[in-house]
Amino acid sequence: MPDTCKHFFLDSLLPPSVAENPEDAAYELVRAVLIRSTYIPGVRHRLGWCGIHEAVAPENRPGSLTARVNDWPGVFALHPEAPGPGQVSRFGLSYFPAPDEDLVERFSIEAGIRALAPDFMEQVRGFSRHPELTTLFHIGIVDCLKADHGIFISFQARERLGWTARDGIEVETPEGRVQAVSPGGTDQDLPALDIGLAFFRPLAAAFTYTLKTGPDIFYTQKRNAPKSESFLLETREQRWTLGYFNTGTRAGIADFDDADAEEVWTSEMPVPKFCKEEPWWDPDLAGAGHSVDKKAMGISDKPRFILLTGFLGSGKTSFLDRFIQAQTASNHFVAVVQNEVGEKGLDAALLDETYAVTQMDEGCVCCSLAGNLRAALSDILDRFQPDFIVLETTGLANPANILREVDDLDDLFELASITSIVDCLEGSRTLDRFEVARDQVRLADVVLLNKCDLCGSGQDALEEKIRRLNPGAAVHPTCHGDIHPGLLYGVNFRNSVQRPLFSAMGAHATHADDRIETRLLDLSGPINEANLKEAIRAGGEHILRVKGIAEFTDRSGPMVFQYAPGTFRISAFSGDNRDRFLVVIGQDLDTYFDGRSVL
Amino acid sequence: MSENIKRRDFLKGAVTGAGVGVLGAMGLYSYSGARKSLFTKTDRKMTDIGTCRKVKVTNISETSWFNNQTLVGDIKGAGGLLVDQYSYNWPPFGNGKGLGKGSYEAGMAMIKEYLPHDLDKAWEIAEANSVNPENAGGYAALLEVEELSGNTRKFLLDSGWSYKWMDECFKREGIDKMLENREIEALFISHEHFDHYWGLPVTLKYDPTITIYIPEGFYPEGKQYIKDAGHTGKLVAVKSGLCKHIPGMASYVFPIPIICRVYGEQSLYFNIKDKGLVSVTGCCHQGIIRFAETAYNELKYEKDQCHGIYGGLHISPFDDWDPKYDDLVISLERYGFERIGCNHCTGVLCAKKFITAGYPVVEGTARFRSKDKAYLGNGDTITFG
Repeated sequence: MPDTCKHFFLDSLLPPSVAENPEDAAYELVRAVLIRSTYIPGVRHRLGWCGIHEAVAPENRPGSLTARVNDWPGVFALHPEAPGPGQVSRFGLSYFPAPDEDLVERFSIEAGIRALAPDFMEQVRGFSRHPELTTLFHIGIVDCLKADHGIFISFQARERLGWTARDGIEVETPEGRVQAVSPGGTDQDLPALDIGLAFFRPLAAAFTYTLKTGPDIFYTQKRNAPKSESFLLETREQRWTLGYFNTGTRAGIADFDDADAEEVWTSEMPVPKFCKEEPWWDPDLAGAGHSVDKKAMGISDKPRFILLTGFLGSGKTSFLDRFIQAQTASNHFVAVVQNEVGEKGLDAALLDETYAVTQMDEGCVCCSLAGNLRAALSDILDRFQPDFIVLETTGLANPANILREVDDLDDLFELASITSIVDCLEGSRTLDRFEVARDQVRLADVVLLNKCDLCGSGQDALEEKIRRLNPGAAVHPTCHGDIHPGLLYGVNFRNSVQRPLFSAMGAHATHADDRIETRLLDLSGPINEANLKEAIRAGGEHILRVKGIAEFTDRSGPMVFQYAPGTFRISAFSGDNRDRFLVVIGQDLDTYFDGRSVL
Repeated sequence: MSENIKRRDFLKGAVTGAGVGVLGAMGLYSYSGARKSLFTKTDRKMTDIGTCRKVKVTNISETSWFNNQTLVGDIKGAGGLLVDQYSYNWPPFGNGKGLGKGSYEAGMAMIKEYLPHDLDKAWEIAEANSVNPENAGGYAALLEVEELSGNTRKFLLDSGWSYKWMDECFKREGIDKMLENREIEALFISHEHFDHYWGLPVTLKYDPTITIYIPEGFYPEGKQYIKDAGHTGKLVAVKSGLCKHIPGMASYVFPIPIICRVYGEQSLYFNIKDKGLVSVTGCCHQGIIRFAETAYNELKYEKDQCHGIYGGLHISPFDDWDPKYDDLVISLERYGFERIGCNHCTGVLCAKKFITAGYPVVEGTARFRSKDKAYLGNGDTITFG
């Protein structure tokens, strides 16, 4: 890459005052790459990040942060350390496992006790105030070098980070004293390299993304880990290094001088098999020029579509206010569409168009449809390029009808959620009286139990009623619709698919006498994709939604399967949920859906 | 101990038994003696910046732009949040080539001869060559600091965006006369963003000699703009960290990457006699937590009390992994501010939530295109002390 380009892209990361300061530049570079690569949710998710939180402690150099990485339940922490050899900027990397994660077993007893303490995640958020945590949960080190011959980013860790306890370890438990590790037994035996690489991958991908160029050199070095103490487990230690803006020269600083094995790739060579799948290769990842070409990154450019249902007065508007505020704060734009004129008191004079637009508070447009949904939505997308479209239905709307109406619109947006709001005070009575209220709950994947502050004792019964109608939905109690969208839909809008809670549902309909019913298909093995689609198509408009995690005979690995009228979506599932199931929502499924043909 | 009993089954609530050979020493965990953590437990620095009696903030303008959908549409159309702001083709740097195809040099070439004396003409040209010029507003505030002696000193924070809008606002609040009379000592630029900085010539039109403080981290275009806009006074690029100005007033530069290729934000701290600390921000891109924690660690202030805050409040530059905490209402609670005047990027809904939560928000009058009384709006004032 010509020098001018190099300067152009570096400039966009660091201003001259920082770039020209050799002591700080590489520390700041890592921070700038991390921050800039996480601005845009779609990009962030694609790179592998699932949110970042800076651990602010002003006495420390900025750059201490915690991050979650896609598909890892725990939290990574990166914190600046004293510079390494040759003034390389050095960061310690720690991993704080989630309490229910199997990895807890592999950490030391002391770390295990900390990880299972009730305030562990609180401490993790402010880990820079608990320096002992970074030591207890230490994984490896990340180095960054910014030199004339290039920019280098490295990760170094032991394959097994562990030790034995000569005298054993006893712990005091509430049930008495327990010999946790017998004398000479293993206290910790952690696959540190593998854990750390899960963080290094998105970090390196973020470098490639923000530097707008792939690496020119990649090398791994191995050696026998220094056995500085007798109790340390014997193991190999590895160092992985990527270099940018150079001509295939190595960092030459902080490299392993005593490496006994190494693999080197430079840009004129084909990428070796073992690292072909790594996320840091593609210089075109970010598209041409200086534009963020989301299509080139495989990111759906379509806005997410949320169908918001709920009876009049249940709190839809309060919820929307909160939703719009949160999205605006992260530079997202929301279009709200009302499917009936009048509720918001829009100016009637405007309504001779297909739809009318009014400006809501901020960060949002609000439209009332007066005619053709498709024409209106296309026009809204063209004019406002929203990141979200929320279709707010009137209380009496049956979402099943709306789903059918939007079934040929999947080229315009991605159905993200059907969210239903139930009023805690009136909800129980409404659900008893109105079929349409029950349908709203049955079709939802997120149910908000609103006005909890006014509810009192009836809340449990109402929640139970909702779960009986829809065991698959996530139910959140709220007041004034005030809940962070991230809690409802997941960070990056990637909540994992949950198996319905009623494990005893089996293949039986729960609501044989009702119009819309929910069915759970437990899958014992891979199923045939064509058969499933055929069964759904055969059901025609009687099948409203299908959602679940399945394995297919002609695809490898678990997949998230989703169907909404007109649209099948199948995407790789990478979470740790081992359940395989499909939830089918529809009308009179006994007649219209042949579950056996699928199983 | 049986191998098939999981540690998790008994470690919950456990403590390591003291004196039973707990690994010999905790030092074992730092298995590599070479690792030196930078977590040095330092005492609060408690730098003394002196005290002042009172600070009055006049909101000259907080409406940076008038239509959010237009602004977001432009940013998206130009390529997204990482794109250099000078390439958007927004005024005053329009070159007539359309969205995303602008440059500082080409835009400046068209207006330079009119800066800063004929801003009507310069803006007219900018309007003809820029994308959505009518959407530009700006952010600027007048700070009147009363010293213990009773003497009052005046400063500007930021100079807005649209020449046209800012000139109107300056005249409305009498800033033009104050500048002409050389009553205002200095202009602090919080950060290089268009809405805080590109209206610079409006200040220079009335006083080209004014001292300007910018945070280090300005890009070359931004520095060149000061020259091209006709500045003849002193320019100070403030290094990251604390910088004392007059008794009871200091600025602090936070090194932080900001969207649209901007780096670094300068905020102001005041120490009000018998009241406490007052913080004045442009956008607070460093995040309210870093802002308040920095004050706590760096400064000595009256009664150790956070007294007041004025300006735009950002929570964090990016989405949190735990959305539970991603909330300005929660973030602000722990600092116990006694007077809050917020606007600009805070979000009207968020300001309303502060009020609902019982925070001492000083409401405004929703005049001069400010949207809501929850904001301390255009033409409104707030006094601390």
